[in-house]
Amino acid sequence: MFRRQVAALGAAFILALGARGASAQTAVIVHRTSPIANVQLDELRRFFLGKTTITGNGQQITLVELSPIREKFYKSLLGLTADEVRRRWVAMVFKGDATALPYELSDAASVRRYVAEHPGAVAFIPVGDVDDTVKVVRIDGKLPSDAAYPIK
Amino acid sequence: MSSIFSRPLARRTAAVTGALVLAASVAGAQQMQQTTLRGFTDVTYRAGSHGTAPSDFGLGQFVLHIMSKLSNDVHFMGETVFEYDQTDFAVDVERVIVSYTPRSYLNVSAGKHHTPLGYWNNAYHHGALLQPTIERPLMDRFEDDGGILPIHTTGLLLSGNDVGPAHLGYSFLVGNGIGSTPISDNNPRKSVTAELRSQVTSYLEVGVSGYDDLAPRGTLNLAGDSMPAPFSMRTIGGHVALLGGHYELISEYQRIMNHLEGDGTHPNNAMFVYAGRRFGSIVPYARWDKLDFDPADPYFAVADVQAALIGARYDFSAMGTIKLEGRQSKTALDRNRQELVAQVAIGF
Repeated sequence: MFRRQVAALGAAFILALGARGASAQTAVIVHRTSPIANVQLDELRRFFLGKTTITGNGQQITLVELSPIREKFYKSLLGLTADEVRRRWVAMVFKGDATALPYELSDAASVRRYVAEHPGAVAFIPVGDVDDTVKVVRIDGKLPSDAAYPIK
Repeated sequence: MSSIFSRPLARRTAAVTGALVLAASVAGAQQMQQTTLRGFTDVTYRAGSHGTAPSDFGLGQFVLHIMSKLSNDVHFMGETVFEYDQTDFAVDVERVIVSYTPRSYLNVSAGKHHTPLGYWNNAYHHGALLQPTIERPLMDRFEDDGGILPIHTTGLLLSGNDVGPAHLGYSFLVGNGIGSTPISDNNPRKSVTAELRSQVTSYLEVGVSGYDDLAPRGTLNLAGDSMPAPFSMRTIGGHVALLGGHYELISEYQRIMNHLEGDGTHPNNAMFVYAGRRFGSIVPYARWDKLDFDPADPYFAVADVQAALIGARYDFSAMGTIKLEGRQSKTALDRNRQELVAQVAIGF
């Protein structure tokens, strides 16, 4: 009896750790109808640096940032601070290469809702906040649950 | 060739400009405009052999940017600079652009632009915050700051980005030439600027660019004297810009050939290399500049310059930075100049 309780407790602990690990991963999400399904890492960098501004079907890309994890996401994807990314966007706007800065939202539910309502939106949220109203993008063929997923 | 750059083109340019402005106003009336106003300024401290006083503080340009979305495809951009000009503060309209951008690969703009020559002149404008060093490279200095290249051009720009698998970008600008003003040209011949670039990776851009213009007799040279005959300026050059997570490298070169009627062609060279290494919010960097003039060139008529600087930048926020530089420059006629310069630059 005691051994079963210990085993159950151990399993719950391992599951909790796994779930914590998965939810700490960041997923890149798009509208369910978006043609973006699998991107190369450099292609994703082009999106978030404003070098590519349209999707394969000619849809204008709108970037959405989840502010609490922005620093971590940009560090992992671009090796840059969020401040530096913002500054590059300001420079692009006043160069004429971009018309607006990325949208900034403070909670995952708002980001998810925005993406579900805007076909050109590309955003990032914790994996644990993903639901079936949005589509998760594979990066180099990998999903956030894969060990070799490039964004930590 | 001459018919291409004659008065009919000027009339066509004016017609297209008018059409763009009209389209913009109609579109603007149909939907609420989204207008963004931003400002940039800086304060600089210098010490060393740069002027009469051993050290001084200087107020930089106060720049106001206005960006307005008139419709989904039509935008307005304005850049106005307030700066101290010898005796008092002066206002310069540095850019006024109405653009129509139906696709990322197609943009038509009319107005006063930064001439698409090289990387720096297009990536960074008048806000010191956005550029990696305190001042622009010598070859990219503004016209009213002793600049050797036509940094601004008023005219019609056709451009685009992210074309094809090579992620090509292009710019083709026809406009008023050397010695002209934003409201009129000083001769029938229009200047032509062309640039082709490739965003090889998300961090790396390479490009080639060139400029061609014919300026009339009487145009002032860099020393402020009238040119005795019409002259042409032709440039050809290239750039590399790597702006990654850790390393920054920007390098540009332009070969500038000035030809005075009845005289020979005078070749000149302008170049710089900037390199930096990012450690989070701190970036130590260095830059080397060289302007190498033909001594007989009647338009430049100034001495060769070579300059080097080392410095560091601390980005204390997205819209604020502190830069510190040690500089040394040497001209063919002048003695060596050393200075220590610090700058706080902000945007809002």
